[in-house]
Amino acid sequence: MLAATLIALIMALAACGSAAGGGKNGTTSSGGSGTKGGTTVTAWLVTTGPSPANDAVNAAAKKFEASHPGDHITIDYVENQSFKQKIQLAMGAGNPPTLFWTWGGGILQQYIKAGDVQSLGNPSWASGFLPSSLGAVTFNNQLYGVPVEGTQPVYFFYNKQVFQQAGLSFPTTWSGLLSAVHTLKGKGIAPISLANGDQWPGLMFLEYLTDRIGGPSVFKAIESGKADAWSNPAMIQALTDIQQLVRAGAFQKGYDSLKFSGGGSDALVYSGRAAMQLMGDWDISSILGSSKSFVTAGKLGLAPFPAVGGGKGDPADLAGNTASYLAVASKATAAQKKAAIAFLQSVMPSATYAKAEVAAGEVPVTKGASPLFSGQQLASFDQTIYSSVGKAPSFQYSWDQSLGPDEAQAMLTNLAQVFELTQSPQKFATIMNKQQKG
Amino acid sequence: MADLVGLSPATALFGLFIIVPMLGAVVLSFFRWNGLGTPQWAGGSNWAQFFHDPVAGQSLVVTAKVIGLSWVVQTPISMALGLFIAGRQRYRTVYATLYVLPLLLSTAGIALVWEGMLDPNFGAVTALSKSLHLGFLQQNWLGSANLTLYVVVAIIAWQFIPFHTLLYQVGRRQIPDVLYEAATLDGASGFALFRRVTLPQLRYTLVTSSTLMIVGALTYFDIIYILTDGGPGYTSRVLSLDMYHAAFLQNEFGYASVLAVVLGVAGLAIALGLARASGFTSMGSQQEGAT
Amino acid sequence: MSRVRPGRVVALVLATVWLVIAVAPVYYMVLASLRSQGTYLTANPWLPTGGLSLAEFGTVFGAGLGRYLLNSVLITAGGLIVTLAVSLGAAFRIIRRQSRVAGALFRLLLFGLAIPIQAIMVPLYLLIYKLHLYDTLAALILTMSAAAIPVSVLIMVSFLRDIPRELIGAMLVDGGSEWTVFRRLVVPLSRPVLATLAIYNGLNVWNNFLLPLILTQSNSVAVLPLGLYKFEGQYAVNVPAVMAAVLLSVLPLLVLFVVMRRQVMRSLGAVVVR
Repeated sequence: MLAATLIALIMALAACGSAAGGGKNGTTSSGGSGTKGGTTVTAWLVTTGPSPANDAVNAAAKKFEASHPGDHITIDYVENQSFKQKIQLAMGAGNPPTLFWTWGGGILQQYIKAGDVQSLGNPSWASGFLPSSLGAVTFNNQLYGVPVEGTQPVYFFYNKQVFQQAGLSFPTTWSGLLSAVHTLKGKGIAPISLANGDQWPGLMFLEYLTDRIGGPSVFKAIESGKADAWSNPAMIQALTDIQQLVRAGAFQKGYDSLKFSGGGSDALVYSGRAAMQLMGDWDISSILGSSKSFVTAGKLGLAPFPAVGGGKGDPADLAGNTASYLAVASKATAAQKKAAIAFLQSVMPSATYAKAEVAAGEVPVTKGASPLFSGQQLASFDQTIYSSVGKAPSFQYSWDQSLGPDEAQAMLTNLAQVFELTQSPQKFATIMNKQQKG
Repeated sequence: MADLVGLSPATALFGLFIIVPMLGAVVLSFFRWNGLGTPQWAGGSNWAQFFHDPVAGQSLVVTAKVIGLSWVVQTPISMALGLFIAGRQRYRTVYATLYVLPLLLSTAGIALVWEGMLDPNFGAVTALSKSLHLGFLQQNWLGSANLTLYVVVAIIAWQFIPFHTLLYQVGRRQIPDVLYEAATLDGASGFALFRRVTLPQLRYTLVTSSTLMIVGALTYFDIIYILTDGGPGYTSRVLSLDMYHAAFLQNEFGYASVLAVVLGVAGLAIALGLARASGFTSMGSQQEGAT
Repeated sequence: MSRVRPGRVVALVLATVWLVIAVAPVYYMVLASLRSQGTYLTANPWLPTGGLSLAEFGTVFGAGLGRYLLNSVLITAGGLIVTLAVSLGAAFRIIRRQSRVAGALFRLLLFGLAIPIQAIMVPLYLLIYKLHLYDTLAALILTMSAAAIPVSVLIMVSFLRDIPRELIGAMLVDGGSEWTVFRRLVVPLSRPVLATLAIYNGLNVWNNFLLPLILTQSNSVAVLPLGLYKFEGQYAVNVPAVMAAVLLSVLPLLVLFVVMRRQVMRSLGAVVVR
């Protein structure tokens, strides 16, 4: 009796707690709680902290609500790692939000195969985006996602002062990089800062080296599931080059456990203890947040990954995240889907939204965004990035997003062992070939 | 049937939210499922995979190591500290209050603190080693195949020793002084007192503390996940982490369920063993006798 | 007693060593929370130099820590009341009715001692979703209580076993019902065991990360451990802000502990010694 009463009491209390929020989930709330016949679109986005990028999305949602009376967009921001579990569970249970964040590639494809994603067809408004930015969300000539946040190619970010003092300019060839490593090492500076505790920063080296040595087709073969594609000589060469870097002491002490998230790998660069870091372009705002003066004093340099002598890849090729996207869940109600697509169509390709993104420090993938950058704090960086994306013959999407989740995990774990010199390039290729068949 | 009235809320809650999902995991272990669409019957193939999976084998070993080491490290330290702060001196009360601090911090916070402290370039430990010229403190704490598992065990110990210290402290305070007086009259002192009076009197404390410690160690997840995610390589990948990877990073929910069942069975074996050793089941056997 | 024995000095030294080990990371945490993302790594980690400020504490409050705190208090209180009430009832039944059913149920609960919550995460999620409890605090209270029942019942049974049967018998003879016995005798006597389990389970609920992560989504039902992750971005973590949030979330517990120390000690004592 006592127990039962108490339980009832607590349940009532707890119900209050949750009812306060509203924001209930897609499929259950076709009527929308308290929206009087309107439609509530739920959206899950990966947060970049309490960041200006969120503000851009929030403002766009508010504006949309104002022009579409009765429609509501409820946005929940989720931290990166947590998001992957939440979305997988929600998809599996048939309980996804109307709009969900995606990086495109293999995982999105898995959802599409399971019939969980609404095709957007071939909408004319998609022509407002740079063509290279839609590859990750285009399957069977159908569009399945719309860019929501900016492009994130990977570059070398370096400490100009350190290079100057060592009498170096940033190398444009691989052999130049090796000799720079040697010189910097001799001055007691860690040549390259690497946060491989996260595993994906190491992958960036492999992505670029493979492209520079063998061209974009090497990974395309892997992606399409061609047998023994991992044993391509270009891949083996790239892995061998990585181990050569490790043996040359190119990376700082503890590179295999340091995580990017804590800011340690950035701190190495701006404090001058390390000379450079290979990282996505979010590194600029990350360093800006930690050491503003370093960026504003013009000490931060940006350089493309060097060319490899005799390699087939174009040195203008890029790797990284072409963009991040929003996709529409097919399980949402017709009204929700309609409102969601209207939102994507009216907001995402618009110049207003591109402007808000630029103001938030992003580099949008909207066409003709060039003039928007002037006057921005990081205008020169933004301009460089935007034009390099426009000019890149190939913009390879990050491998860990392009591949299916199990293959991607195996790749990251095994590659980390290559970086730790506990696994040979050949062994890596053998394991990955097997993974591909299985 | 009246039995069920008092038991029912407990069994209903427990049955619905623990046993039912556990059975669900058992069923799922015979299916192939990526979390989307309909699970496909897989027969025993997930189980066959488990017996040939070197990673799973290694994570069983790592789990066993974490459990064993945790007990070996935490028990003596907790007991010694508990006995110390059981003293009535005022300064010991201050010690006792400060000792409890790590227990109160959330795991996410603890992980970040240690990550920051052990950073080989900027970490507090490295700074200490430089200013005190203690070279051995400059290690790649969280990225060394030989060291990292022990570092993780040490951090777990740091977090949980306060709780067990508390148990031993009050355990010691409950021991009647007469027992010590009697033993002293018999000529015992120092270590002999500990062996003849303290240790036997702390028997139940030891059992309670060990049970919580060992069962807890089996399911440690958060801190290892945040600190090393099982690395470097697979050297700190415990079974619960392996299961997490299988389920949420590789989306192999069927295989993850196999690992879940193994985890459950291992836990059960340990719990039953402990219960037998400690006499917790005497309740059960007493009942059998009664009916 | 007045003579200083060498053993005592050694003990004091060792205890002090542990004191340093226990407190140093907390000190580091306090210092880091007073710095900025840029200086927490590069400034001396042991000395309060290089510009300290309370700015990140402001950030944390601005980000809605109050709401998370309230939710955490709700689920901790709710979880404890449910766990303790149903466990004590069950434990009492188990010692009173020594039937086969009760015995079997007791063993079923022992089972649960060993089932790690991660092992049942996926089916649990589906279940909660089907019960329409997804994204509610009730889901957290119920699942966390369910998970805490085995340990609680186990410890309570071994505690209640020692209540003299004659005491219960006498009360029943005086015309009391089982319910009276439970209320007048068992509940008051169980205070110490309730306190112990309240601490143990309370800390587990307070710090639980995994269940809130998978069973809730909205900001309005987010609890503290999830709230800490709001300071993590896609790639970067505002470490000082997280440290500040952790410290703020510890404060209520620390105050509670200091205030209730004496009581807790006495209660714990009655449990562990048997």
